[in-house]
Amino acid sequence: MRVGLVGAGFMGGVHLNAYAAIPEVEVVGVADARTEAAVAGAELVGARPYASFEELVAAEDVEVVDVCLPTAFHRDLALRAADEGKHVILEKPIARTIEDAQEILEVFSGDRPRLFVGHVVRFFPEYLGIKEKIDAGDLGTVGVVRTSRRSPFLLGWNDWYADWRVSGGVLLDLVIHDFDFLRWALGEVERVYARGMLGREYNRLDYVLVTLRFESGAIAHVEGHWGYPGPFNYSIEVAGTSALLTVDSTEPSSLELISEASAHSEVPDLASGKSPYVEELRHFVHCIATGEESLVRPHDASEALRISLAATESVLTGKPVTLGGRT
Amino acid sequence: MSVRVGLVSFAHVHSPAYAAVLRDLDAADFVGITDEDTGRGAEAAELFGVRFFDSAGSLFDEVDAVVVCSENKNHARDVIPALQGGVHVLCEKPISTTIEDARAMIEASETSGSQLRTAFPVRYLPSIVRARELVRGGALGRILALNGTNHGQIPGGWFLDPELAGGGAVMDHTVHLADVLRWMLDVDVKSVYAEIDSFFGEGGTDDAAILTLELEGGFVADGAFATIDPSWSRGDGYPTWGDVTLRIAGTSGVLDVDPFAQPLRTFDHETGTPSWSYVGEDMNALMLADFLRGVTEGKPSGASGLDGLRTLEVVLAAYRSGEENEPQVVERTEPRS
Repeated sequence: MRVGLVGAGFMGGVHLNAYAAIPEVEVVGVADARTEAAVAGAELVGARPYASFEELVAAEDVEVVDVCLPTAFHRDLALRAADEGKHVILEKPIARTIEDAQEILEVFSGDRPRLFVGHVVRFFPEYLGIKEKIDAGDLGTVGVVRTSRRSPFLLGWNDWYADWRVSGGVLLDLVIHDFDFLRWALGEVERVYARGMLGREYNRLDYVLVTLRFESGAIAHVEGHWGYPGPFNYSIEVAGTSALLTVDSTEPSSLELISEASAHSEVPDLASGKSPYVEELRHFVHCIATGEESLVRPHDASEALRISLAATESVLTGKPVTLGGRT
Repeated sequence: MSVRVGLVSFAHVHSPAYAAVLRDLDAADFVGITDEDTGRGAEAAELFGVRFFDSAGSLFDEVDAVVVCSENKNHARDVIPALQGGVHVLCEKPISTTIEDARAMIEASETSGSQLRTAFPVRYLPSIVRARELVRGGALGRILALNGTNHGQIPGGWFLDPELAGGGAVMDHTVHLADVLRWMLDVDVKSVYAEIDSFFGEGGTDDAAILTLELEGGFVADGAFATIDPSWSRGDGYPTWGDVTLRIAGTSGVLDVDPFAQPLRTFDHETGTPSWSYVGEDMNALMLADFLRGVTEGKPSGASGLDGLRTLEVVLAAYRSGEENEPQVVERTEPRS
C-alpha cells in the first residue's frame, strides 16, 4: 500500500519509523514546507521529499495520506485529501474545533475514502490488557480511575504546541489519549470538571487536573503535564469492586536503557516487541485493505475531542460541563 | 517531667497505635483508659497495662492531658468536659461532624485555657516536612497545582454509619490532605468541587470521590488548585493499608511525595498474598511527642482546633458540591468567642 506523509515533524518521524517496520506499506513521498525536514523524513523510509501535499499527490500515486500537521491544519488537509479520493490517517486530535471535526466526519461518512485517527493508546499492550480485564468483568464494577500523563514540552514547527489556538494545549494534545481510552473502556462521559493553566501566562507549561463522571457512575481523575521537567511517563490505576489494577511506566520494564539520552526521551520505548505505533498503523492499513471496521472509529475521535473541549470550557468558566447532544 | 495522660475511647482504629506510643514514650505517664464500652475499654487497659476508668470524669481528675478517640459524632461530648476540667486534649480527626460542635470545642478551649489540638499526624512525616521546606524555599518556583491521594480500605463498624461518622471516605480521609495543604502552603481553601459515590462497600456510605480545591493566599501562584482522592478504593488484596501521596507542580519543578513508599515487600508462601510493611518514621509517635511537649511547655504545638474546623469546612463543602454538582464556596466560620 502506497502512503504519502504530510508533516515531517515530531509525530511524522514517529510514523515514518513505524512504517519502516510494516512490509506491506511503502511510503513513497514525504511532504513538509521545510525542505530539510522533508528530506530527512524521506530518507528514513527511502521516499521522495516534497514541499507540499499538492506536489506530493500530483507526483505520486498514493492511496493513503498520513497527516501529521499541527492540529489546526487537520481539517483543511483532511478535506483536500478526501477531495483527491485518498484515505486519511490523521494524527490525534482529529481537529482543533468540534465544527472542524464534524466537517471531517461528514466528508468521510461514506464507504470510501476512509478516515483513521491516531489514538495510539488503544494499541499499547498494557492499555489493551486493562480494557480486556474490564470487559471480562475481572475488576467488577469500576469505581475510581486515576490516570497521569506527563511530558516534556515539545518544540514543534513555529513553536505551535505553545500556541493554544493551534494546539489546544495539554487537554487537546496530551490527555485526549486518556479521555479516549477511558471512554473506550468505561463508556460515555456525563460530566467534566477541570482546572488548568489556560488564561494564565505560562510559557511552554500546561498542567491540568480533570474529573470525569461517566454515565456508568464511574469517576475518573486525569492529570496532564506539558513541560514536565523529567522524562515522559504515564500511569493508570483502575479501582473496581473486585480488583485494583495499576500500570506505571516508571516502573522497571523488560528492557531499561539508562543513558544521558534516556533522561530526555519523549515517547515511551517499549520492549514488548510490539510498537504501539506500528500496531496502530498496521491496523489502519489492514482495515483499508479489508474494509474491516477500525478499532478507532472517526466518531470516537470526535467524541474524545468533545471531552477535551468540555474540559477546556470548564477550565475557562470554573464550572462543570455536562456533555449532551451526542451525535 | 512526664505528662499524665489518658485515652478516651477505643472506638477509633487509631486508638491501639496511640496507646502503644503513650505506653512507650518517656514524656508520657500513661495513666489509663476510659470507654463507654466498658468491655472494650477494660480489655484495652489490661492489654496496655494501665488502669480502666469507668467514667470519663474520674479519668480527667487524674491526668493533665487526654487523647480522644471516640466516634466522630461524640468528639464534642468527650472533649468539652475534659477541657472544662482543665485537661488538655488531642482530638482524633475529623474534629467533629458539625461546625457547631467544632466551634463549641474551640470555645471551651479558649474559656478554660486548656489546649485543644487536632490529630493530623501526616504533618510529621519527614518527607512531608521536607516537602514543606522545599516548597517554601522556592525549589519548585511558583506552586501551580497539587494532586493528592489518601486511599484506604473499607473500614468497619461505625465508620460506615453516617450518623456516628458524619460521612464516609470524604469525611474520613479528606481532612489529612486538606490540613497538609493548609500547613505546607499557608493557603485557604476558597471553593470545592466534588464527585462522590459509593462502590466499594455495602450500605451506600460514600467511599469514592475526587475533590478539586481552589486555593488562595500563601505560597502558591494565583489560581492554584489541588485535587484530593480520599477513596476507600483499596481492597483486601492490596499489599498495604492504603496511601498518602502528593504531587506538587511548580513553574520550575515537580515534587512527587510518597511518604509511605518505604516498604519491606513480603511474598508469603502460605497466604500467596504479597504485603508491604512500612519501615519509616512513626508519625503517631512524632505527633504525640509534639503534643506532650506543647503541654509541658505551655505552648500549644501541632494542629489546632481551628485547623480542625477549617478542614471540616472543606469536607462539608465537598458534600454540598456532591449533591449540587456545582463548585461550593467554603464558608469560613469564626469561633464564637
